[in-house]
Amino acid sequence: MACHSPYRAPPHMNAPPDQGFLWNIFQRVDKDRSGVISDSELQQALSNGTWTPFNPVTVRSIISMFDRENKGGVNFNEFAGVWKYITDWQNIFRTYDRDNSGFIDKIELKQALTGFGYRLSDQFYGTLIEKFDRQRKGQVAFDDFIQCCIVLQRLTDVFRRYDTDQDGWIQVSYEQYLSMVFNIV
Amino acid sequence: MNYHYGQGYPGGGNPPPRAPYGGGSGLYGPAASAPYGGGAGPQGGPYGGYGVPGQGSQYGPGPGGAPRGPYGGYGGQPHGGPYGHNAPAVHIPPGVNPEAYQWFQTVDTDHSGFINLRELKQALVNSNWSAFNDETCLMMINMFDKTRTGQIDLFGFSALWDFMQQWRALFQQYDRDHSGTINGSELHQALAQMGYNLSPQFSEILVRRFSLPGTRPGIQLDRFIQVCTQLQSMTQVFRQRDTNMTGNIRINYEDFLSGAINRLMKFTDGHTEVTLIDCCTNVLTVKHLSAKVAFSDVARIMDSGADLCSLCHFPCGLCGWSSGLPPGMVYQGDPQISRGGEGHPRAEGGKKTAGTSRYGQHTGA
Repeated sequence: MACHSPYRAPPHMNAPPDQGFLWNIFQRVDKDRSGVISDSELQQALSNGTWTPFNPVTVRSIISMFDRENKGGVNFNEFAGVWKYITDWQNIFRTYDRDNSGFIDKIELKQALTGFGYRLSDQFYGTLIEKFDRQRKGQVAFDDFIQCCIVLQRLTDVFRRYDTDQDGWIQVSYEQYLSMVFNIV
Repeated sequence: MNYHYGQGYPGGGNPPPRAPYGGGSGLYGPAASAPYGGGAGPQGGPYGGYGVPGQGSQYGPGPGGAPRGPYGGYGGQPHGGPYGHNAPAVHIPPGVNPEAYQWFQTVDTDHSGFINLRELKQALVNSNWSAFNDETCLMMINMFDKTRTGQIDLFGFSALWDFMQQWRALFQQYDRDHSGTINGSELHQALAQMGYNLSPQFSEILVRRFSLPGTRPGIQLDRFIQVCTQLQSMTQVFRQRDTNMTGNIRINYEDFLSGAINRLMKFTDGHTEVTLIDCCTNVLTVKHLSAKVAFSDVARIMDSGADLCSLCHFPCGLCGWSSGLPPGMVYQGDPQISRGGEGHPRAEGGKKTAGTSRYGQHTGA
């Protein structure tokens, strides 16, 4: 276990970063100096708190969220969004990783998702951990936590569109159902 | 009536970060109410098939009918595999496809007798020689790993090989214009022949979803397998709930979530590459190691071929850290990191470094 706390909040956590600072980071991450940060470049710049590479699926999700030109990467303008996104997630992760272990266990996950407004059964949280925990620890690391939240969010968004009376139930045809689930893959 | 999640769906309270562009395209409109289709291509599993041509069918743009890969066909490896033209007769275990055997030896680079995700990616290629995507490889490992180690042994690989040949043949059959990818109308025909009753628009949606970004829309072999397998899986979920066989189901929120997550989320293998990040410019990669690296394993890491950082002459980041870097963005190339304190510079807590910190976000100007 690390002998010191890695979670020191940067002094100007809530202020938007200045362009010079962002550009500095961008250049470091954009190793081949192509002007576009690719999946693999971003992956190498992200730590999930373990020695293993950052979840590539999460990297792909993040890049695709901010890549407005479908080029498979992000340019400097888009990178500002990426940076903020990651920082926001870091803050959330720190908030809910109450024992500072670098991982979020089932209880902490429940607290986090409940904090976001989800109301899910205990059993379901077990499913989430089981399905998203790539480290096989029974807890989720930073990247897997993000991935879990992204998937939940997408599935919920799509469910919501059909749940017009907001009662938590929907009626869908076969093809509609497939469209819904393939939305998030 | 408002479904109670607290404040409805997430959006109240402290919402998680949202990106300006959500994932996912628009939803498909009203669908036919006729009952849905049946099975998919080669069944999930090494044995049996569905409407699949016999093994050993001709395929591929190259000469000869044998399945090809970067190392050429059986008995003729341009880069010189372990078995050249004059290789002595090798005893191949009964039940193992000889070609699969050859491939296995070539790909099992550490000769562990098992193939992990990374090695598998070298063995499976699309029509344009691009490596299979991670999701499909993981799916293969799930299907064919009987040892539950996250790796495949020779027998599993042989079965996978046969399975792959069937899929390749199917793919070639449906790739009518021989473009190397399957477009919307080709996919529609493929799904129809597999017994699915889905609209052409749905196939278009799928193709768009599974095409690589920045390329012309079309699905490659790896994603074709992924799509068909997932279609089959999600159809099963739907069917389970459609007990009256009406083609419609009523499903609640959590059930919907579970169904999708249980079926679509893959296991990951337990033997991933371990990455060490140095204080200079290169990310050091240590091969073939378990994901959990204890501090006491450092010596072994160094013995296994990890490169040393040229500035500080040991794999940076190791000392003081047995559980890795803090989560967040880290980046290399900062020469300003102070070297005070015992052991490695970053062992002490609370000490701010001038310039960028390797851990977490930038702390200073």
